[in-house]
Amino acid sequence: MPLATASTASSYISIRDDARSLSRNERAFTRECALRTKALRLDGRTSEQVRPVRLHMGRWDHGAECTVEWGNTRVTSLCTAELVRPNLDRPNEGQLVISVDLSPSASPSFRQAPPFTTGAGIAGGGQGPNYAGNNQRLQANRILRCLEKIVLTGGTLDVEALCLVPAQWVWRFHLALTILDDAGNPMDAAVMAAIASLRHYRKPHVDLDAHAGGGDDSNDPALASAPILIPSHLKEPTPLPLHHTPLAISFAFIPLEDGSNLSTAAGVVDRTSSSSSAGVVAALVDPNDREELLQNGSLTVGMNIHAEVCLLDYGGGCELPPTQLQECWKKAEGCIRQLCTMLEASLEQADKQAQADRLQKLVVQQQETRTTTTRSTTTNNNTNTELPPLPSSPYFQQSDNPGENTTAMDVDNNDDDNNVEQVQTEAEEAYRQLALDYSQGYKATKVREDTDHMKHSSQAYFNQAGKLMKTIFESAKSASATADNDQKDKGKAPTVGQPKKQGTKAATTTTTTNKTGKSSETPSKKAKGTKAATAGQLDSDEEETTQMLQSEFKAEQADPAKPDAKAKPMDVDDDDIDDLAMAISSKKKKKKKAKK
Amino acid sequence: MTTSLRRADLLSLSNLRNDGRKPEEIRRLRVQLGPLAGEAGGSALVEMGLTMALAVVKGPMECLRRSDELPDRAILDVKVSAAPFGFGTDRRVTNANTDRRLVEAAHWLQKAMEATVLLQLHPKSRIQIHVLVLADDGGRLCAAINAATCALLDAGIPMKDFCVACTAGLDEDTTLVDLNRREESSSNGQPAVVLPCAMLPQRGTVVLAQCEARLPSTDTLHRVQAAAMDGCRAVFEILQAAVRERATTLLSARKGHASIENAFP
Repeated sequence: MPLATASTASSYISIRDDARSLSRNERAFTRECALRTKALRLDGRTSEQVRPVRLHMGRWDHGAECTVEWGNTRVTSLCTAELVRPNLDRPNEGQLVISVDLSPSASPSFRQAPPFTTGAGIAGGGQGPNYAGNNQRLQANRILRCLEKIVLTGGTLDVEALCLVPAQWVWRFHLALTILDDAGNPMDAAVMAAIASLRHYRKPHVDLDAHAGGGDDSNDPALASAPILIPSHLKEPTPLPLHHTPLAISFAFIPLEDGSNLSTAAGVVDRTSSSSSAGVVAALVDPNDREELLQNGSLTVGMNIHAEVCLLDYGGGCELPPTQLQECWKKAEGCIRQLCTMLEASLEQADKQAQADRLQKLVVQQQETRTTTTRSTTTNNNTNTELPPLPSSPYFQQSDNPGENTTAMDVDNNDDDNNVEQVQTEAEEAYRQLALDYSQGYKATKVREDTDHMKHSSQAYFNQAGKLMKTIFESAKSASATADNDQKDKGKAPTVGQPKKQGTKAATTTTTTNKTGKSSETPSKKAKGTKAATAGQLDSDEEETTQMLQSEFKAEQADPAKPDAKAKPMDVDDDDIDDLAMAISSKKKKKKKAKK
Repeated sequence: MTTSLRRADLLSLSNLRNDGRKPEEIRRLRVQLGPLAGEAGGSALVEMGLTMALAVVKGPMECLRRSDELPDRAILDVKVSAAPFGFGTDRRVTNANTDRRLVEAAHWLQKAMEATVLLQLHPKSRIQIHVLVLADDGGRLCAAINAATCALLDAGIPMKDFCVACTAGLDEDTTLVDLNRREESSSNGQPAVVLPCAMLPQRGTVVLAQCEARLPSTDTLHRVQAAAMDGCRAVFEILQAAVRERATTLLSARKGHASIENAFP
């Protein structure tokens, strides 16, 4: 509805809102186009075409976000979750708080206002009946209510499934939507963004036994019994239990009789003409902003891909013969099917990307932990060179056990539980120092970590293991190491080695769900029997030589042959498998050396 | 021992609903036009079963803000509030400006009335509609719309047609008309299918339709929609009769034959 232009008579000057007003010519022309039998709109679409939609998704440990670009309309949805005490009235239900923010960046007609939320809302409305503010309020409220209906009452998210411990802990989801750009039809974009972020979100596992954990929250006495969310590098998070994936599509109604056609001479409605023309209403799918200003009424239908209707919001505004209403539903079915398939494809792609990112992160984390332990050892000793295995190192403690995978794994578990946080902070510190240390940054990491690795983790571990075990472990370590190093040394890793690395990484990551980030032993275990293992071993041979060369520059690596010799298998594990051929050759060499 | 036949069993045996109605029957509808006589405008009190809504209309009058006014038509300023007392309404004091359900109801009411009232006859003016829901036993929105229609008629504002509203629902494949609160509330964890629908009965067009629950197909939607429209027509008959009666009373009062009672029941 166009706002009034400035009134000249009074001293009260009202501001014309260009984003919300339509000139008469534009109005007449758009109406004419829309009301033709084969409507052709100003942007070239027919009355049944939806604008092109693009999705960008992201995921991190405790949240997921999705940005939808629906034509020029842009909406961002952020999905996060936390564990809270349930509502006393509903002890077995989780909670969902939705908030919609029509930000001023969306349109010059929107004012900065607190977002409309279903949770503990901010008591607003201090301005009184402000019509311009009303428009924004009503629109935000409409989007909020439609989302609430689609997600909650429409049966998408089952709140009872969000209950963790009945009457004690439930999940509370926050769905925060921000309309960044309003070029018409933010409702559909908002619904798609919200649903996509809910689908993309992965719920972390929860450690209910708080006292056994590493103690993230156990410092706080109030949360002493709070369950701890297990970070995603330890346990793979799970998707949400959604019953179905509904999407919404909106129509704009432009009736033939706009009211200005009525004969107002006697103030009497021309019955005959109006009744005959009452049936002619143009229904445009997915209006853009000009058409939205023009529309008299709008209809939003929420459906899933199986044409199950879960929301019908026909907010009136214009008369509609019931047959036309039914026609619109049929049109909506087709559009929604298209949108749903597109959403599924985007979700899959984003999921793959997120998984790949997660693997990389895990590998980097492993590298960092090794670096951290190395650093800690170096700082402890004044002599920067030689690093005998430090009793304080967690890895070393584990390596006391003979090379049984299971026992070692168990030790790893304990280690994880106890030291994960410490190791993480150390890793961060180590990474930071590494980044600032130029002399070590240049491919020194590979070598350093190899030395660390050989020094701490696997010495006893590998020595005691059989040759096969040793080689397996080495290859696994080198695989992960090579993975990390490959990331750092761009030019070095030939493409041949990349797939191997990926494979190893994947192997390591998936298998070490509980123990990642700890030691190189776990990756080595996982990589058992894989070709990558051999490749790693082969690589280690290469790295041995490099180590020897570079050790001169580094205090830590000043340690000559002995650690090198021992570290060779370790090095292999740490280093990425750059080249399969190299790996094979180095493996052979390493075996020879080990025998020695 | 004689087994006592429970009321619920009796109802289900004879295919009646929980208050004894047939599936296509609407509740008792009582309309009172002009209960608040002092108002310079119109008012109406509509009772659909136990749901009671009071609507007060003022206008056409000047806009509060010059920036609000439209050059070619009037604007509708609608507010719906729920009384904290009264059967069925929320005990918490819900602010009509911020409570999202009330704001939504006001928005729908405004849209429905925009399609009905001849706004072009009063440019640059404002028509204020305030609906107070006194008791809520299901069908709050419909009672509000019906009350607003009657109040507008009582105020003498020209309209294209009556705007009548009625809910319809689905109970295991039987379409029900005019649901009460019990039928509206969700049973077995599934939200009940409730479709409030407003239409202009003499013109045969729909101006409002809402549905929140999950329906298996659009055909089901057609059926429920058709049932709602039947309910609207039944409501229309009663409303029309009430308006005619009121008009007759006013005419005869003008001639001195009768006096107008505005007793609030």
